[in-house]
Amino acid sequence: MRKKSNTHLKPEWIEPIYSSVAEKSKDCVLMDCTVLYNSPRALASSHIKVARDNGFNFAPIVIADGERGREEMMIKVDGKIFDEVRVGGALEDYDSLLVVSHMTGHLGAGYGGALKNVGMGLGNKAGKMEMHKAFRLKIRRRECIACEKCVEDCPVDAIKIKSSRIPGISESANIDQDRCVGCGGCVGTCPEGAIKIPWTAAPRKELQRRIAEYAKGALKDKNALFINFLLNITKKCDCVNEKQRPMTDDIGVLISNDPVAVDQASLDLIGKRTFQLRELIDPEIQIKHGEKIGLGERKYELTEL
Amino acid sequence: MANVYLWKTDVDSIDPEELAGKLEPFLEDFSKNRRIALKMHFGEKKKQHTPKT
Ligand code: SF4
Ligand code: SF4
Repeated sequence: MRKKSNTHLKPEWIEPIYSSVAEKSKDCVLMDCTVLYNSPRALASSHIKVARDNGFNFAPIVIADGERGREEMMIKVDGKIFDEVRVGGALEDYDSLLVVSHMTGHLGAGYGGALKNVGMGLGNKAGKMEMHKAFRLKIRRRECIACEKCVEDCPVDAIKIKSSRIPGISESANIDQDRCVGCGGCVGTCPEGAIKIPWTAAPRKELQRRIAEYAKGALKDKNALFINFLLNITKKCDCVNEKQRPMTDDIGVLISNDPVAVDQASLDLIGKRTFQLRELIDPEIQIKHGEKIGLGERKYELTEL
Repeated sequence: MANVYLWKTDVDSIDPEELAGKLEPFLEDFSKNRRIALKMHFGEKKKQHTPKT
């Protein structure tokens, strides 16, 4: 059995930061959204359980897009790709975002830091579908057991169980692509993991730009501060299903009120080639696009604390 | 030009209280009277080890 990653941010590093913020603020919660893929984190209730099991027991947790990832607020962005983005609805209740990110490599987005944490991380399921351009979900008929869970869950009745012509399979679920509104709910609902997301529909460069535009939406009119942990820097992100070894030495913790600058400084300190070794993807696309759309500046002055 | 601050540390020697202390001047202004969401990634589910019988 492969061992699970244990290189995500440790709760004991976050608790004193949380306490300090909670003491001064009116209200402070830990926040994330549901994920798009089939995982316990696809539903808010089991996502919270994962967080608690991983030691995040010291604060209230809000999964901003609700139990099935459908709660949303639409935010206008003056982007190059999006006019509007779809983020977790509970974000509306908070005027400030403290974005705590673990810098890692990322197979699709080049790297994961503040921009990805806030952009991809705060998109609701439909928002994540948009970022991935995953507009046509596929059902692997051989994996479908025709349990009808997705049929019951689909808000627009886009899924039907139909008889199958595949030998040995009498019936399976089918998605009516014209009806599907891309909410992404069925992916996490399927107990067999039979509903597949076309992860590569958005070319990687475009995925990075889409993430930056979502970050712009999530941060709109918010008081925000960004903390990047450059510790346990792994090649893949904290979602992967494997134990990873750090790929370079620890550096420390960065803080800034500029999400573009904090990611640029993180990449400069790590060396962008570290993440580029086998992935022929320029990890700076997110950052460059972030600057282009007015999220922040790539030029920064680094001061040691 | 943006300002970025670095506290050098590593996983073996990081002292969380010291970290919070380093961040305190930044958190002071940021937090006052605000409603704050601390955006996190909580990690993935840990597999339970089930002994073979
Ligand atoms: S993604 Fe489409 S098919 Fe799946 S639940 Fe949402 S609307 Fe229905
Ligand atoms: S939830 Fe999954 S297994 Fe059940 S009918 Fe839908 S696709 Fe098939």
